Amino acid sequence: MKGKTVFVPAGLGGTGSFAVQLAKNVFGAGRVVITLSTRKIGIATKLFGGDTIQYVDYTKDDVVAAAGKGTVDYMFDIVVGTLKYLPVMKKGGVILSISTLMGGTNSKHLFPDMPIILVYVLDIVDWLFKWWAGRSDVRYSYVVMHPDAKGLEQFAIYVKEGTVSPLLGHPAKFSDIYNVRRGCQEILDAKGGVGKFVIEIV
Amino acid sequence: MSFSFQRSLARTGAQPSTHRRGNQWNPKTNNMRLRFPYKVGYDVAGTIAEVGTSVTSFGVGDKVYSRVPNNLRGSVAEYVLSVESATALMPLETNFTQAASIPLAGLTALQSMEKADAMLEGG
Repeated sequence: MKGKTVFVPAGLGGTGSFAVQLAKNVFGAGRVVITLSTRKIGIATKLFGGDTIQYVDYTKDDVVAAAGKGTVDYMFDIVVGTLKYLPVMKKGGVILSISTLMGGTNSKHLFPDMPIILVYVLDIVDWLFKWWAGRSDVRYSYVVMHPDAKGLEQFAIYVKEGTVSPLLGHPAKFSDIYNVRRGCQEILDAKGGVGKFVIEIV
Repeated sequence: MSFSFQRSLARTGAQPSTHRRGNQWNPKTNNMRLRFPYKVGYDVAGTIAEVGTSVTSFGVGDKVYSRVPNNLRGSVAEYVLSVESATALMPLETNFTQAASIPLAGLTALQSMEKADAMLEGG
């Protein structure tokens, strides 16, 4: 990924903010494009720095034009942007998604009770995404995270070195039901918040 | 996926568990039928209160963080159960709140980045 262009729509969310920092500080991306709304640009600049990051205000700008058609090597799709933002991808580029639909075979693994017809339907949808991206010479896959101690050990090192910092929204005490609800609603709406929402139990 | 989980929780409403534990597919709504008690949360940071006999990497009092496996979902609680293969010592530069924000989101970003890197470099 050295020197390549990475595109993270919603780069200031919980997963996005980690992806942006990893791309820039660990994997050596040459340019990281993120989308965010106007009032969050300040927070983002403070966290990510100015160099190599290109901030696109999706509330004002044409995202595809601002990022540049055919310029992105890797899109990390957190916001169901695979189809909408496909034109930014370079030929031979990669889209990994956690926001579109999981293929049926993977879903069945998570929900064993799922009816087989739905497994087929989801597999077909997954195939359609691959096919559609493939027409532009782009490789698309849905990714499923797996819990992993080694990755967490590695992450602890990144945090220690200062290469990656967690970004928190407004943590709420478990007893503070008003703010717990507000935080949950913000996540459900996928608007307004930044970083991860944490509930403090003890 | 956790997203649609929350949505279906809000939509179908969790129902009291009667004879059967765990979640079922609801053929009428093509959605997960969630039952109480339904524990939420995959991320946790905290101090180890107790370890099983086969655990070698950690001991009581260690500060750790974890993305608990799906079958142990329920980290929004005072005590959380996880497995050694999904737990690591938390970065001591952070407090518990910061550390708890890392596992699920961090691993998702890291694993995706590694996969994309391999795909791009491999051609």
